[in-house]
Amino acid sequence: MNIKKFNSKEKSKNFNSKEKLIIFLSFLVIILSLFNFNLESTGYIVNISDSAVINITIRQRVNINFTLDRINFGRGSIDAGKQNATIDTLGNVTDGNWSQITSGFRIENLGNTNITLYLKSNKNAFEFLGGTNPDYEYMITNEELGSCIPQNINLSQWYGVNTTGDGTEICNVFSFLGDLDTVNIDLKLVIPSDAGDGSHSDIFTATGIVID
Amino acid sequence: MGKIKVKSEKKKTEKLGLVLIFLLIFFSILFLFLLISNLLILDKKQIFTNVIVSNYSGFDLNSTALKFGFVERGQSAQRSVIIKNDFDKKAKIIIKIKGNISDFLIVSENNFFLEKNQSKEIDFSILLPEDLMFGEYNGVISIILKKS
Repeated sequence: MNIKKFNSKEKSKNFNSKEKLIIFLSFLVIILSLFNFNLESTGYIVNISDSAVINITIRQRVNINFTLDRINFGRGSIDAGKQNATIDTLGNVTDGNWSQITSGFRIENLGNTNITLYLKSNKNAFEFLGGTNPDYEYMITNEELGSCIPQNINLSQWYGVNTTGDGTEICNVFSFLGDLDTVNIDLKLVIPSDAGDGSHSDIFTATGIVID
Repeated sequence: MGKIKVKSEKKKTEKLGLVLIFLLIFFSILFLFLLISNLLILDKKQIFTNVIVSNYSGFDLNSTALKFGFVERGQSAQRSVIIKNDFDKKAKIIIKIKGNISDFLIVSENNFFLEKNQSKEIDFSILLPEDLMFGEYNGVISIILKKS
């Protein structure tokens, strides 16, 4: 033990003033370098410098994409002798053997402002299903009464999908109020007997834009 | 024996001295690099961002934070930010994302130049993996304007 103590004391004595200065400078530079990493935590938009030469505007819109894989109708086929089969997310399966699906998409307005809601699909009925006279429709219903006030469509009615621009304005006013802020989107497919085999997929986009 | 011990101690001290000199040079360069890069920063803004992984979707439109609301696993969402260079010269924009949201938050463009008074809309996309745990994921987006 005594020898060990002696060695460590001897080591510290072995550093000459030049080396001690280097050690001091090393630590100083290390501390300054680490300080320079500038660790910051923040809540909302924060201006770090005093001179505001960068102007940031957060667009008051959001797109949420739903892939149809989320609603998985699974495997199925059209009954023999039938022209087509109809399946929807309300649990209906006509002239086919697909499994029943009883829920579509649900969207809530979580914010603190009313928004206008648009819906578009990436593919039209032919692109999505193929075959002769396919159909690909959606229906909007209020999960909570008064959530969606439409202008261009009627609630609880089927409409063909729209692939252009932002799609169809489905809620002119989509309320944010506590018990009035949730809508359902259901889907219906009419699958022709000559539709292509294999898996079919599409993406729906719901766009919310703040009402000024 | 005693002489050999003293010699080896001397060698060790010399080695330690060399390591310290190396460290001093390394950290001095690092320090200078950080100092210069900080001096080039003209402005920096930070935006809070978050997404809640849920079993249904929800919008949360907010003008002060980039909130994506409720997004289902395997689904995606986009929001955008308009960046304008109010500096009197061309400048470089660098976007950095920190926090647990950074693994699945993608920025459409980064490290680009903006002319004086030029603005650009930049998209931020969330793409949630199928196996992501339900819950809230937060982060901070830093938008840095640097001298070009």
